[in-house]
Amino acid sequence: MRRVAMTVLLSMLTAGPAAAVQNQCAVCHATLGEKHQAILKAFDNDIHRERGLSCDSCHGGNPALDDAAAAMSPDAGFVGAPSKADMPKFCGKCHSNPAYMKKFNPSLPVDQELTYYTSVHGQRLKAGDAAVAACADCHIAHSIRPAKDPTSSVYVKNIPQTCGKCHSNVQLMAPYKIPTDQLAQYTSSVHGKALFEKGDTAAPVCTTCHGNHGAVPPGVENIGQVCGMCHVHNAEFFQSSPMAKPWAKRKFHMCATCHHEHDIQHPTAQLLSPDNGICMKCHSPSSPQIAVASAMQKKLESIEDAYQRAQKDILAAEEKGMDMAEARDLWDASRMAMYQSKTAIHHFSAASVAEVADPGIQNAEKADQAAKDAAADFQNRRIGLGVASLFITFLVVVIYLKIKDFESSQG
Amino acid sequence: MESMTRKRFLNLLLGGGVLGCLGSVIYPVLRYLLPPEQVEAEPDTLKAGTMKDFPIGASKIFKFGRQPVIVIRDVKGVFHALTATCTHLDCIVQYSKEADLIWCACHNGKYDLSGKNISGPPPRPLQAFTVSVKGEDVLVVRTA
Repeated sequence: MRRVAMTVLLSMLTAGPAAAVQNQCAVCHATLGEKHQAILKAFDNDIHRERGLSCDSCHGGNPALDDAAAAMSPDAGFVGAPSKADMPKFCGKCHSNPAYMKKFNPSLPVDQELTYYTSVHGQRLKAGDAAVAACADCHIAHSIRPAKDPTSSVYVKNIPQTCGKCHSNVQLMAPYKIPTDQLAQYTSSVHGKALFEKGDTAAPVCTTCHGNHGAVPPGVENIGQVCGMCHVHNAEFFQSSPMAKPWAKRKFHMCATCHHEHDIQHPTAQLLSPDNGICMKCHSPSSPQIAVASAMQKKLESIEDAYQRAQKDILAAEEKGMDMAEARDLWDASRMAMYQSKTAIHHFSAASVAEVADPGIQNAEKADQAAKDAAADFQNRRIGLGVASLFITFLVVVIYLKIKDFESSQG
Repeated sequence: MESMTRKRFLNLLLGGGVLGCLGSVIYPVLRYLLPPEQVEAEPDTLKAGTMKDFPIGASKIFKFGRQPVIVIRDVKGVFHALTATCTHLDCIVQYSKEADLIWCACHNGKYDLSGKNISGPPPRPLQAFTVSVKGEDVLVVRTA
């Protein structure tokens, strides 16, 4: 049975687009034990094989020769498996060659090797550290899939696990003295929940902020730019706020100082609390800045409360079968105002927050009133039904009495 | 005399019962027939305004039934109408005259004027509507 399976596998491998002649690499390596067989099996699903490449395309040698020594001789161009230090150059032989790569996909980038050496991984590899990640650590040699393929190790949903494979490994990270809780923190963050729980593949992953081949920590000076790629207004408002200058002077991480890095949580009004809010880290309780924070907190709490009250009442009315389309429109408008209010916080001005929050509070209150009216209308309909049933029953009884009366008057 | 009183009493009850039953039927029928207080929920055509409301580079968001719709007169003077709800997290989009594209401020999502998502997190295009200009009126028509 096993022999039949290997024969099928070999026939698949040797019958690939590049296999004009029988691939002797596969023939011999299939007999060299489970590790080799696993490689052959994995390669069957590799994008390189799909595009017509075979073992010799990367490892050199002559796959047409059945003499192993001759097939894997330097004369046959055999290079074998690359060392970690040689891997970027090994892959870059094709991937850094624009003319060659154009044959497969003219829009593929060809700067991976170049940017890799700008990364912390590349810099350390260059300095002789063979424990860092190189091409095959992230792309998984012999089973490489394109980044858009959901089974790929570098598909957006798989990236946190791929990076975490090393970065969550306490033993592996110990010499670098860097934390290993990034994956756990990310998973419970607002971004991680968006990706893993809501399936939002637009949510940022490790490479969105750190880069992929050129992965580096964003750094103090760039973090606002990185977050600002998506959170445009937050970054813009902050930069034009009175906080920008003192922040830069003290070299604070623009967004991360308040929102943290990997464990970014959905921001709540509590963040501005004069009791235990983030502002208290630097400002004294009696300072005017804390008074502003407190005013902004109250306004945010007001809109959040009004929004949630409206939501609860709309859902309750909808459960009763009432049409809440108009109320939902108002509620949607209050939701937008709530988002905008949270963004307006970055002006660090109570008036700016109130300017967007107040209309939102009004809309939420109107939506809530509409939901309450609908609930009251539902109640009125029930009472109406009860009264109608009473009249009908009453009528039936009276008709019965009338018939009896008629019968008695006849008799 | 006693019999007459009983008869009359029963007739009164019968009359009251009939009236009550008729009322119970007629009231809901009338409520059904009378036009509702709110406007028609899903119209097929709506007037977005007049040409005066849309100078070059102007945009306006209005409700088309239950959907917010953005009507744009781009820098070349061409009209576009699209759903105004971002396909990422349902924020309301806006027209950027400078970039001549549709932009969502929540997470920097961008769409071209045909509604195609071209940058940022939006996963799907915006739904397009047809705009027709009749005389001075700018009409938005639900595309079949």
